[in-house]
Amino acid sequence: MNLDDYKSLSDIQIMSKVGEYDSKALEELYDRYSPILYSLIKKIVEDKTKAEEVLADVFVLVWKKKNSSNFSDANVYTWLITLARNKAVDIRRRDENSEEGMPDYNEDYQDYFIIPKLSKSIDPLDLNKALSVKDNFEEALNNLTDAQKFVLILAYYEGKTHSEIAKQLNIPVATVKSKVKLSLSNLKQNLVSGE
Amino acid sequence: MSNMESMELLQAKALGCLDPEEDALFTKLMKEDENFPWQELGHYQNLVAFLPTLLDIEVPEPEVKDNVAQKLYELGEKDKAEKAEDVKLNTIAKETEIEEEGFVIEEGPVENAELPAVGEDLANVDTTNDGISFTEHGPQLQNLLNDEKNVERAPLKKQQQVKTETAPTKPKKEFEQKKVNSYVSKYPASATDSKSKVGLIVTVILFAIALLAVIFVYFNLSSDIQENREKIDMLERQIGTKIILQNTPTHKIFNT
Repeated sequence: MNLDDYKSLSDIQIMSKVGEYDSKALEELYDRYSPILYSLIKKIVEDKTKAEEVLADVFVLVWKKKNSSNFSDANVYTWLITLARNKAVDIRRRDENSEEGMPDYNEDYQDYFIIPKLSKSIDPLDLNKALSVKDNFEEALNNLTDAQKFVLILAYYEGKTHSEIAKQLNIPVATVKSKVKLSLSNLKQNLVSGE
Repeated sequence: MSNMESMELLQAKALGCLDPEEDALFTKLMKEDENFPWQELGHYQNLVAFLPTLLDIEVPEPEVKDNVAQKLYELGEKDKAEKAEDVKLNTIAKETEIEEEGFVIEEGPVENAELPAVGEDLANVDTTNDGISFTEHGPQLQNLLNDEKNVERAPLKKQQQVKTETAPTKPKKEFEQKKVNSYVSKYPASATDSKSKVGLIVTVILFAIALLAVIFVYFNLSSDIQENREKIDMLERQIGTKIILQNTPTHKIFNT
């Protein structure tokens, strides 16, 4: 099986082969996902060199944890995106806090905070399908208020928690919780109604 | 945290913005609540994962791919080193066990030995030109992969070295001597000392008795020999006298 043959495989088939120590499958996974993962990581860490380093770390993690994740729901996309986001946010938070006050980065920490724990019941999703709903999603997002969008950006790309957002915006934590809940609920509703 | 509260925080969990305390409670609830809204959580996780699709997509530099390959190589090396250390410890443990059982160690050809899997991950990585090597991305990685291939062959040599270091070929005699020593060393030191002292005393006594016996026999024989010599001399004299008397006329005898 040469590298071109792998291009016709689905994400879950690729991931299954990665689980069987197939390095060509990992290469195909890299070719397929590195642009979107790199763009996400760079948006979070805001540094090209750091983003490249984190991207490499993410694929090493994929290789190391290939058998510890359950892909029975065929959702490689959300798993990889969440993994890259968690890893990048961790790097950003460590940079911002100069590692002081941050827990040591060890296997336990990694398993708890970095490796995604997807829902037991999650719909299948791969890169092609995710890109195919891009326009609808953009429209749904644009229908949110600026405040709702801002809260989403602070939480997702800057890795801020409820209390950190509250502190930054000088508003009560309860208000932040409410805004987060509302923004995602509306986004979901907008997306469903737009399809 | 009640089920209602967990529903309130589903979106925040999917977005990854829970405070640590909330996250710990939420994780606990995920494990313990039989009615946990898994499907809702799945929906929000997928929804949040759509966000990066709106970014301007950039392709990383080709060197990043090489960096991934290098990191995987280093990971494999680390695994190898850890597993080689395990093999070394196992070899020492087995050697000790064999010595205790008293078997003679014969060093066989290591190449034929069944070696444990070393660097499981790396061993299974396809390092051929179209594997994770990503060889089209430059000679630098090609060199790295050549090294990797050498490393793949290296374990046998390395194992051999380990084996030689830990289980050198010993002459049978030397080993048997070691075995005897090991048995002797099983007895307490005081017991072996007293035993050797008793043996020494017995030997001295036996030697003294033997010496006395020899002296006794010597003197006994000497006196017998002396006595017999005297008897012989006396008989010789008697015989000589008789011969003289027989050959000499009687008057001469009286005249002399």
